[in-house]
Amino acid sequence: MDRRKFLHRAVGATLAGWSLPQIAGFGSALAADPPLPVLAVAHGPSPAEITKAAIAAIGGIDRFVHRGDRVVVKPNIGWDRTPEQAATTNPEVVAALIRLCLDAGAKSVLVMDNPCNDPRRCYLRSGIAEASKSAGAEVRFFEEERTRKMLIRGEMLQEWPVHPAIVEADVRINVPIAKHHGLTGVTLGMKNWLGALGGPRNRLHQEIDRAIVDLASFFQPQLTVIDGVRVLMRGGPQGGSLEDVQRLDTVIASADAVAAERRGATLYGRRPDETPHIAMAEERNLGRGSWREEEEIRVEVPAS
Amino acid sequence: MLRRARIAVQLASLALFFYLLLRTVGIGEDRLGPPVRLFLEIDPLIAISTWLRTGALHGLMAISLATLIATFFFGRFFCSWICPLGTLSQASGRLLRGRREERSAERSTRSRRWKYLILAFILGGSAAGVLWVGLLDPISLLIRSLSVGFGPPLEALVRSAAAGLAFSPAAAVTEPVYAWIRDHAMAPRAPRFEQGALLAGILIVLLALSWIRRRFWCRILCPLGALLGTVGQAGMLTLRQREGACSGCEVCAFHCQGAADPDVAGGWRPSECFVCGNCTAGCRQGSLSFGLARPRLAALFRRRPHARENPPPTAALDPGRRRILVSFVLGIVSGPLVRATPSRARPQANLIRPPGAGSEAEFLDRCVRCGECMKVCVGNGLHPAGLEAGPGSLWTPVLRARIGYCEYHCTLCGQVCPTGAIPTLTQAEKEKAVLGIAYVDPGRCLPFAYARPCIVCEEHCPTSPKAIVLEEVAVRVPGGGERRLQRPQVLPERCVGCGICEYRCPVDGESAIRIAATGRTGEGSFLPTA
Repeated sequence: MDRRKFLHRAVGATLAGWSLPQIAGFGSALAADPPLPVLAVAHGPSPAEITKAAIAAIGGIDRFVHRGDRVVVKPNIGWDRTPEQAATTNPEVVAALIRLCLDAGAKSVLVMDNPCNDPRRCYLRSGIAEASKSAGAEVRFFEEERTRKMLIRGEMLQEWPVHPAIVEADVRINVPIAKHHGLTGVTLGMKNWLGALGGPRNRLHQEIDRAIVDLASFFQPQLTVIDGVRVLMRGGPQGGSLEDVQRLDTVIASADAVAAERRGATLYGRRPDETPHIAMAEERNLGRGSWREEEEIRVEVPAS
Repeated sequence: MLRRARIAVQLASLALFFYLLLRTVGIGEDRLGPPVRLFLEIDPLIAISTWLRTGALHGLMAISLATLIATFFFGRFFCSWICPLGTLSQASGRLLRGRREERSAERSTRSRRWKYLILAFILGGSAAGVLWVGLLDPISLLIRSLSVGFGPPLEALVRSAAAGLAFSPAAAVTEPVYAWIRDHAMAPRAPRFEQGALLAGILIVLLALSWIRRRFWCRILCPLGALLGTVGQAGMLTLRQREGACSGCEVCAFHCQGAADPDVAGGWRPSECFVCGNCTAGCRQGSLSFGLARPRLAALFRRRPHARENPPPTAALDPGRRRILVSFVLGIVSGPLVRATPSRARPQANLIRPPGAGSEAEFLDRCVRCGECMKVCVGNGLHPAGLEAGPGSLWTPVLRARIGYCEYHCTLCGQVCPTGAIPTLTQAEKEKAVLGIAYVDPGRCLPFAYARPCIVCEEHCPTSPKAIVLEEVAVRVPGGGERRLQRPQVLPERCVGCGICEYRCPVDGESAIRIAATGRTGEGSFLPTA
């Protein structure tokens, strides 16, 4: 290569390197495509309708689920409780989500959890098994012998038995219920991933905050939908008394798991820095970081 | 004809038995569908023994009276037509001995008397306060050994085989089949039991005895067979031999399941005959036929029956009156001997009984140790007791909360209990039924002993409001500084002793929170009730 050629190329490359992003940015500005909202909060008397409305507000299910996708929906079916007792995810919220996924062309929707009580009683009494089946999902029991030791590569969790069906899905949708919890204060989306684990889960409690942030960064759900229809204010995470349950008729949907967690905590009047695992998740840049409460979209769905 | 009918009924009965046993699992519903305790309810030995203890027949136990009445008419048919252990003994004999060894006629031997002595001992015990029946009652024994001994390894095998095939080309077939079997015939989570191998081994040995003699168990040991044999002896069934037709070939005796001497004129033994029909089907002269005759009630009590009749219609039931009496008296003696155990005088901490089980004495008066409750327990909490409280409570159900727990809303054990030792509780009664009370071991509990956060017990505590509350404390840690911790505290008036806290405690080995059998429903507690 002679000197002249070298200079030509160097100048060209420099120009291209400088101008391409400029042009691209100019292009997207021209298309006037505003960034999709990160989080939406829907409020109204029908759990199914507010679920649909919240997802529509953040760009619709098509943003997350594409034709032929295998979707896993992970509700909280942890306890032998009825929906009124608000210890398990609202079945109507779960069913509405499943219908949206199937309408968007999902190849299959799988619903599963690893409960603390008898799994059969939990699946039945929570109403989730029946609602999910009639919405067209496959409902599967969590079986310890189907788990595989997987590398979590977290700060605390290095390896742990995880159910492969949850990891191998194309799309993971986390559908926790907002509850009070004796150790973490509130339990929302991040702690919900304990239900994807086998093994001696009770040992995680000694460093529960670090453990659930590890899990959140391992599972990375594409969509988080927090069920705030009935909320357990005390006596969580298992509840049992209807006096501890408050009807908030709210569903939070977000593409950003940390944003959803922050907004969920406010249902309890908690600031994010009061909940260690949320602060940790932000420190570790798990979310998009930039989200602020003011950016949320609020939708009111009146009774039809 | 009779033989064919018997084989059909026998196989159907065995199939029904296994069907009901497999369906003795919780499928999530509050109520169990199939009548899973049916075989225990038609068992008159269980009915008589528990009636001797309690003066009452629980549930459908009265239908066992029908078994006795039918036996009066048709002899000991139960043993070859209905009894699953009889069928298995027959099958194991066929398997172990082969046809060649059955080419010689087996004559009734004096060892047949043993079963009558066992029966007398059991009845003596029942009269005097200890319920031995479940240890050797064939139905009880079989259900216990199959549920506790063979069930868990079989379930584990099916589970791991299905998991292994899940990613193979066969999965399209195996997965739906497996899912159906799992959801209808297997426990929610793979169970495991204390003493499982021992109880399985006992059944293996009893079935292997058929090697020595065909249907060894039924002929020599079975107390239910003895009871039915006694009724059959007094009853109306008779085996007729057409006069002069017998060629003495002994084919009928070769094939006789019970060694009841069908070919001996006037020597047929109604107490040993299982009415299997092998003799009538096998007789080349067609000289044998079953029929009904006058009841032989009186003959049962005569010292030398038939002595004046010529020829005598049947052989006598001859267990020996003195032996029977001695055995019965030994049974009676065993009552006070076994009851003189400390566990009856004051609650023994590790004898945590199933929910609603009343006082220890009431419970032991009813429990036949069949293991139905252990089989159905969705938390895998109920296990067969060892000898920790003496032989009187061997293999009775106890909660081993380190291995499993009592599911708060579940009432299945009371639904499957054939004798009411565990009552059938309503949902509301169950939530109040106290099995014991939890206590924290601060020497092992993480926040107490190691200043580490935990709360697992509190999280799992199912009562509302919770029986385990958290006390917030600040402890100084070495090197300066403070750590805020939540320590569990048990509120005994709320605790029902379900044991999920002990089960889920993350400390290895002995749990840092344990259940002690105190304050149980029907018995007092060291804690005055609020």
